[in-house]
Parts: sequence; structure tokens; C-alpha cells
Amino acid sequence: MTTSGLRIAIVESQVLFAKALCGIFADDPEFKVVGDYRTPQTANLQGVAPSLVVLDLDGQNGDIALTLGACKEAAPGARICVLSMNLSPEIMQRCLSNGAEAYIIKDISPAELIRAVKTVAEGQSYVDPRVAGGLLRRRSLNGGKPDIMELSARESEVLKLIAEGLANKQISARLHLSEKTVKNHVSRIFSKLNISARTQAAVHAIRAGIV
Amino acid sequence: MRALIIEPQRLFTPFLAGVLEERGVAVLATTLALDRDQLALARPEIVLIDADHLPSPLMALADLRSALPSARIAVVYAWAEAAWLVLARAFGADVLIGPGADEERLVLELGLRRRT
Repeated sequence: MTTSGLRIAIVESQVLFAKALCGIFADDPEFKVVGDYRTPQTANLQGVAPSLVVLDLDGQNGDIALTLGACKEAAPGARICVLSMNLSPEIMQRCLSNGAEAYIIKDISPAELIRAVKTVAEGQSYVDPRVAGGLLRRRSLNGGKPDIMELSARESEVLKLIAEGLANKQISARLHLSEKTVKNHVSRIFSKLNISARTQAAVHAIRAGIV
Repeated sequence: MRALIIEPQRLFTPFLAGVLEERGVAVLATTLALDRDQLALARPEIVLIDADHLPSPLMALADLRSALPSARIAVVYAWAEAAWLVLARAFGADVLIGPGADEERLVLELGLRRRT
């Protein structure tokens, strides 16, 4: 896949740093900066139809799921690269499970940022190796099993209600979702946690402290 | 004139340095606060410090002010609360550069002009 003519939108709360990011991408002929916004909620992403969104998470208020959800909703075809200074694997996993394709730490050079974003533009994912290393170490301690942080916000809600003993029908009423949607969430939860029974899901939820 | 940029987000340092260098300022950039001996060697007249990503920004400010009593110290922040900004002033910040500030505002606050 060629990366020529990549339409990129910047979402960065600090004007100075937004200008820095715009400058970095404007200097590369493969990118075209089509938008420069302070928040996803106020961004005109729908209007500029970017193929990539570079979102600095650190200056954004509010929940990661809502922040990324706003980007995905306005630009459903765009691949989202999250920038952060937070080396937490939990934060990285929340970003990836809520639609980001990259998690990039801002202590890299502009050239390294360009390389990472081009990797994402080519259809791959990118995670800072230091954060990925933390995740692998944790998985290794967990016997190789995936953990609860890989669930999306909605899946975590469903898991919490499973652990409270609710059936799919009751969950659908509580969350105002169709029963089929709840079934899909439950399937994905089972798949991500590599389990096959609701009691196992409840154990996961209790261990993770979400109930 | 010499400036010291203390910015853990290395991604943004070239831009900040460029803004100052365009005004004839020689820039030294670091990702961590310098100790007293290093500051004495660098002798910057301007310091730009990122408040959001340093482990102890107020301590760093106090150390800077103590080591560089006549330097103009600017704090760049995105999400600091009002009470913290009052403390930053008390610990030695001359200028507070908030999230809405652009490079023109920055150089104005630092008292710099574009080199002709």
C-alpha cells in the first residue's frame, strides 16, 4: 500500500505543540495536514475526512473511550495514532481497545514519529516498544493469559453485569442494548479472556476489581 | 543570548528551539532538570520548562530560580490548576505559557524579537 497523499488531522490541546506537529508532518511530502484541532469534540474531522488522526491524549479531558469514540465517530475511516507521555500498558491497552492503531510516546524524535505514523498508514499497528515490553512482562506473570484491560469500555460494563449475576436479557435492558448486541459483547469478552463460562468471567471481573 | 529548554517531550523540542533560534537565541535543550553545576556552566538568560511532564516541576523551578536569579523563567503547561500556577509563580516562574499560547505569544512573553 502506498502512503502518498496521506491526509492527516492533528488533535493537540496546546497550540504551540500543535504547530510543532503540523510542522513535522508538513515537512514530509507524503503527508498533507488537513486539520489542526484542540479537542476531538470540537474538531471538524467529518468535514476534512482524514486518513490519519494524530491525537495527543495527554491534554484531553475525560474518558479515553469517549475521546477516541469522538474521533472514530467523526472519522470512521481514519486510523488513529495516540500520542502520550504515559508509559502505562493499561492506558495503551485502553487506547487500542477503543479504536487506536498506534500508541506513541512523545519522547521520540520527529523522524521517529514520522516512521511510526507511516507504519500505521501502511495498515500495521504501532506500540512504543517500552510499553509493549511492560505488557508482555505482565502477561508472562499472568501465565500468558490476556487480561481484563484488553476489554473495551462497553465490554467492561457487560462483564461487570455478568459478574453481578445478570442474564443477557437483563443486561440488554440495563444498558439499553439489544439482546443480540449483548450476546456479541459476551462472545468477544469470552474470546478476549479465553474463557467459556459466565462464572469464569465473574472471577476475572472480581480479580480485576471491577465489581 | 542563551536559552535552556527543559522538555521531556523530545518531539516538540526542535520546534521550540527553532522559535528561539529565529530570534538569535542559542538554545541548549534537555529532557530533565539540570543540577546546580550544570546550570552554572550553561548560564542561560531564558529558561523554558514543561510543567506537565517533569517528575517534580515545582522543585525544579525552585532550583532554577536559586541557581539563576536573573534568568527569565517561562513555564509551559497544558492542564495545571490555578492553585498550582500560583505556586509556580511563588517558586520562581516569571511567565506562564498556557495551552492557548502560540509562538508569537511565547516570544512576546520572553521579550524576544525576530532577528532582522
